[in-house]
Amino acid sequence: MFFYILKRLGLMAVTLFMVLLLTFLLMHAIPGGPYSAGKRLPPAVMEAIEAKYHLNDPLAAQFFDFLKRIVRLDFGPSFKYEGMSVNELIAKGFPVSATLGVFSMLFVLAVGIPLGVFAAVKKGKWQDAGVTFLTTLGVTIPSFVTATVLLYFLAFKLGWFPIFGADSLKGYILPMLALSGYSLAYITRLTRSSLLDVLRSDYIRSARVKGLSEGKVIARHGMRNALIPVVTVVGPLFAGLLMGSFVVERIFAMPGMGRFFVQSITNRDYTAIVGFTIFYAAVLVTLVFVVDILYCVIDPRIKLER
Amino acid sequence: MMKKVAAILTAALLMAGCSAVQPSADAQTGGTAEQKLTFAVLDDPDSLDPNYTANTFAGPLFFTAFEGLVKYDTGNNLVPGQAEKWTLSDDGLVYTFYLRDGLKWSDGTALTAGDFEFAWKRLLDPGYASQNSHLAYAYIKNGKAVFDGEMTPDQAGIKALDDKTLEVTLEAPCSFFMSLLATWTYMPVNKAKAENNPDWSRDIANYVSNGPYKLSDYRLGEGIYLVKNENYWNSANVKLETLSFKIMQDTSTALAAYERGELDGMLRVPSSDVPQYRAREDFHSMPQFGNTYWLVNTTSPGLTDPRVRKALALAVDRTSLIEDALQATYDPVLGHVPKGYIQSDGKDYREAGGNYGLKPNADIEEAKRLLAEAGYEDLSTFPRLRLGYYTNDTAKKVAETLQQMYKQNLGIEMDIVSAEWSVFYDQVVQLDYDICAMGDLGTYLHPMAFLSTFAGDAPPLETGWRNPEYDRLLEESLKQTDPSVSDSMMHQAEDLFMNDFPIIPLYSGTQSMMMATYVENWYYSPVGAFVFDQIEILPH
Repeated sequence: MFFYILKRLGLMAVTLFMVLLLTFLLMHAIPGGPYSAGKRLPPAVMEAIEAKYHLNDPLAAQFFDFLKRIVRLDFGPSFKYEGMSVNELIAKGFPVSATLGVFSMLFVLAVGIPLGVFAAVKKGKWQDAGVTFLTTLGVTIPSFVTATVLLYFLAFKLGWFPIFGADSLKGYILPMLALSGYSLAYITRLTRSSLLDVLRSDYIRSARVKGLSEGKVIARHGMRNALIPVVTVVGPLFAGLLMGSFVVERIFAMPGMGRFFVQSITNRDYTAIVGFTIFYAAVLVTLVFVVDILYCVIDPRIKLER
Repeated sequence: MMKKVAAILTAALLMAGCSAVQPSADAQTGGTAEQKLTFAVLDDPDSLDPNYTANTFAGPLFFTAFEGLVKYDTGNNLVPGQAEKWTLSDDGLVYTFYLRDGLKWSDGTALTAGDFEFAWKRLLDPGYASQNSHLAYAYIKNGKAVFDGEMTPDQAGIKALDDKTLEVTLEAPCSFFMSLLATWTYMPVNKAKAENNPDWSRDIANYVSNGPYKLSDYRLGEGIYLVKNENYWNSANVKLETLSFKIMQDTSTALAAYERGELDGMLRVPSSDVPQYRAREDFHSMPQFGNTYWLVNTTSPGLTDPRVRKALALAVDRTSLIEDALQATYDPVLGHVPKGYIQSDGKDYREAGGNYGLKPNADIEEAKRLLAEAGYEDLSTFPRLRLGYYTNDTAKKVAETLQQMYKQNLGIEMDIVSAEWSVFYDQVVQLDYDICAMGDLGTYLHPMAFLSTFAGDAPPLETGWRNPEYDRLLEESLKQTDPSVSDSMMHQAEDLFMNDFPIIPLYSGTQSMMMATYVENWYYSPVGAFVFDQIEILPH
């Protein structure tokens, strides 16, 4: 177990390095630079700015500058927000996005899994068809539509929620619903199909033959195995939810990270692009790692060796 | 798709308009209302240091928290701000500013001429690398040499004679220097703070400013929160106690929040909503000193002949573009410099300058005649050109309209291409385009804000057009002490430029805003200055 964890940590470091290298190269391959975005400056002014931020240094030198800083967990100064570091940008945006992400994840799990079980139990009946219909909507309707519709009816027409802002917890509810749509539908469907698979297996048949009630069969024997595929996707899904959504944050005017992440690219804010990407990658690989560890908790048959 | 949903939302909003909750009339007795304004703006400032940034999103903060030597009033006049009075030497080169008595920073410390000197010298420091350096080094004596490192900052023409007197020497007379001083670039910063900490402006708890309001909090992506500055020289006449700028990128959300009374005002009404809101009393369309024009690559095959370029400018029906395609309240522009600058003879510069044969509507006959003269009697031989625009809804609508007008009016087929701004701008500089979207918003109220864009060896916008005579005229016009000579030189220069048609002028835009009817005494100037210092909230 110890060696396995060590090996995984090593692999995570390699992954992050590759992410850094690729992001850096791709970023420099796209035309334009931090100070051509949205402004037109005289050449002399451009030169001074480029010199100040070392944008004229050879690419390799710039890369090592990045690398040296990142090893110290310092993503450097933002090119867009003068006087702010990328670490500060993350520190300001991440709590908002993460709060939203945790709420969404809890909501998705609390509603998605029971709904999936319900659909599996009622397989082929109208209830199952109803859930399938809803999940199809959930997967296909983009979040900006959900967000707009929620905003219009619940906040604008009925006035149950504030239209914007992260000032109160109440303000998080609509963005959470809008953000959850896709994940909720996905988890519901996955739970349903995975439980159905499990319910067809031999050991479930034996459990039924022993005379256990259907409830016990599902709760004690079925769910444990059915949850493995669900847990697998929860990791990456959670990472995505934590990072925030450009669209949802924009529509509800939430000062989250998703918006700054996307804007860093249009702004060509090099340090921020690298910073956000590495941060996202780190959260992602960590969660995947945690999920792998969780496997053995859920299913002792899975051994984490080699 | 996104637009459609927005349109549906809008339509629904309108139907709901009558039932929308109006701002609560909380027991306002005795005719006073809470002096509090919440106003939605579009994005975060990219810097909180007035000397540094060129980004327009910084306007709400700098125009309310800071004050320059002069400022705009609600009638668009330049009036004394931190300076009580000033003198100009007979040769037009030396300004002497006398600051008001007892000026203070928001933390109560004294504001001196030295703070101005410090702030302005920073503009000339290449290490500080202000995005607006050029607004200083082009005019202040020895400014460029200091910026280029050939002279020391002490040799620049900026000098605090004592705590209350500031002397500025210019390189050459500059008739619009005073309007430059009203931009945030020339606002003072607290020397002691900024010297101690180059990132002083991000230290929100200790942020100091000298305007009618001071920063109480700034939350990235959320809002800029200001309160009345008791240390402001005119604070006795500032009524507003709280001023909050909410950052809301989605203007449809802002409009919904406004309609529900969560906001008292907002900047930029979504263009699809303008037609329905236009007639309302709380809708405002503020004229802007701007020109939306399309650049013409004068080196592209088919576009090398000025007659062809003029024909393309003639074939555009600006009225129809504005009213039908954009459904806006814009003003057609028939030259390079838009309306707004009043010459020394009292006439508007644009009206005095004429229209270069252009009309608000299309002149198809003349366009065809010019094309025939240039050898394109048979328009099927005309090269297929690209109409380029950057990712922007309005630019896209204009591109589609131009494509259709050229096809309908001249029978010329063109292709539409688009790119994200950075890529697009790169193509403009590389002359990798045929005809493409562009536009300018003057930061100071003077024709040079536009004319200078196409001067010099390396203009920031490339059309392939160069004219040494144009450069000379502009340079000479700046040196004139007689404003009427200066005006006429600028007209000559503009004539040289416009008669070659490297641009297709289209319209001068407006800034649409919502402002509740109980908000009085505010102004949004043609150069984007927020004049919010005299605002009063009426009982409602």
